[in-house]
Amino acid sequence: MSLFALLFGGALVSPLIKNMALLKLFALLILLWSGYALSQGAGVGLVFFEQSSYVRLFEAVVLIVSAALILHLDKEDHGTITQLLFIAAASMALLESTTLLSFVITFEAVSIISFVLVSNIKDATQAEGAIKMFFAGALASGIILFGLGLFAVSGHDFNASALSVDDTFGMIALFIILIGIFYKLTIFPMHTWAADTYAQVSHTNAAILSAIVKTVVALATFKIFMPFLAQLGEMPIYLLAALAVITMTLGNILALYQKSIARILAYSSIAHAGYMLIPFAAVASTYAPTGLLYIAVAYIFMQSAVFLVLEILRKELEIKTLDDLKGLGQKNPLYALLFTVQLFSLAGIPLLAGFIAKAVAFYAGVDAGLWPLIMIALLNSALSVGYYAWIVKHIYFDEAQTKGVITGRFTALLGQLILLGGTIYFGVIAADIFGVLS
Amino acid sequence: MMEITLNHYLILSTLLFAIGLIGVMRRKNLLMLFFATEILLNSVNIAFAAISHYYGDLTGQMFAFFVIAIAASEVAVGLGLLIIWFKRTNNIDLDAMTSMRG
Repeated sequence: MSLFALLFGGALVSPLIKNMALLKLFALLILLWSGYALSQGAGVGLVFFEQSSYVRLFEAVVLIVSAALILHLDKEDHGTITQLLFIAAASMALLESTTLLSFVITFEAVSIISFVLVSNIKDATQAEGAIKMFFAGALASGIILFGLGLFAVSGHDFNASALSVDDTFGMIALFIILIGIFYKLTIFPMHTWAADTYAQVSHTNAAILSAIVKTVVALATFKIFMPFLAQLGEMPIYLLAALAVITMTLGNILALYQKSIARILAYSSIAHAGYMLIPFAAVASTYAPTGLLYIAVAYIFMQSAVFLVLEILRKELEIKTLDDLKGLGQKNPLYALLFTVQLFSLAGIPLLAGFIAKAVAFYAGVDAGLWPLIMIALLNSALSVGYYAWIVKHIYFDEAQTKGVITGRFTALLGQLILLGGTIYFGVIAADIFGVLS
Repeated sequence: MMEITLNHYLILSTLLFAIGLIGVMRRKNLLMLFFATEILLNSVNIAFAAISHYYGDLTGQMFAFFVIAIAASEVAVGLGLLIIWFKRTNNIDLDAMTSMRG
């Protein structure tokens, strides 16, 4: 059975189920069934969509992370399950799209569903974040469609399966499309909306947006644009490298100055968008696809995990700023540990997924001869340890204030353990990811 | 009498796109910002229809329909968001969004 039909059908049926526990069970069953269908080799199964072992692994990861997210949801997040299933369905289609046409349409599908997702609003701050994201997204859509128009004017066919252009006009058109996509990927100078949105919308939504949507878009873009990037000259590649450097440096430096934990994580997400751009610039290397896949897999686990832990901390203990975190280690050792491990993975400490992800991506850069880029990326990586370790310092080494103990639900803990398992598994066993391309 | 060629359509489309882009950058009223994004999205339709006619195939027209669908769903979601925002703050000014500066 088609993966897309399963998830889409599940999403359509899900609003009919009013009982939250039943709905969760239903969504998990749908995800499990999709996972089984995936293991049997099912894909989207439409024209212009094609599955490869490269995307199959990531589709499995998206299903696992969606399951972990669903385990975290509360009673009032009724609509989130439906939207999450829709996002999963659209993500599968986006990942498998083979032509520019199917790519753009599924891309729009993902972005419109993410607008619906953030419209689940509880206070004015969340409304502000949602509106900022909506206008940024609408502008990005406009830019992408304009680029597509130019692409058609120059006489190219957007149903062609391999994206290759030889005229200047077509190249400019594809670059305009890339700029629109970079808007979504929060690349400098289009990153400003992201820092606000990720920090303002509810942490669960921020987890879905910054982890699932971002990685899926990055991977699908790379897959579609790889033939085009590979035939670019030196100048455009240096431009991409410069964008990567500016994005990661800006994200990391601004994260150092934040007091609110959500904003630190938002800026860290922007910095990671910079790391994800390295394989784009290093497309000449044969390690570039592996590098991006590894970053995407590692990042989707750790980023969703940190935002979800933060959601639990906010809900139970009203923790919002760094000062609120003081003494968490003594009172709630389990959640402190979960948070710390994922933060260390984001920082790139060995034996966790984040470390190997960065190592592979940086190696791809070196292989493509982009030494200056990788030097700056390494410095950035060191810089980022600064603020991740600063959070951990507040958790463990500061005097405890009077704080309650988290009575977290069992399902949320189970979801966290799944995400922790992903972070550790892909940190220790790298063969799974290297295997898909060889 | 001047004949209308492909170029005229493309220039019209680009002008509308520029108007939309400037509107998104400069407008302060959220509703106006919203209209600007609509102009931005729909300007592309003119280009697609003209190109489709010029090359004599239907891919462009087909894509124009997709764009209309995309724009329509964006209207639905966006207006919904604006209404929520208005209910919370009684204000549709961009400058009212100050809860997170810096």
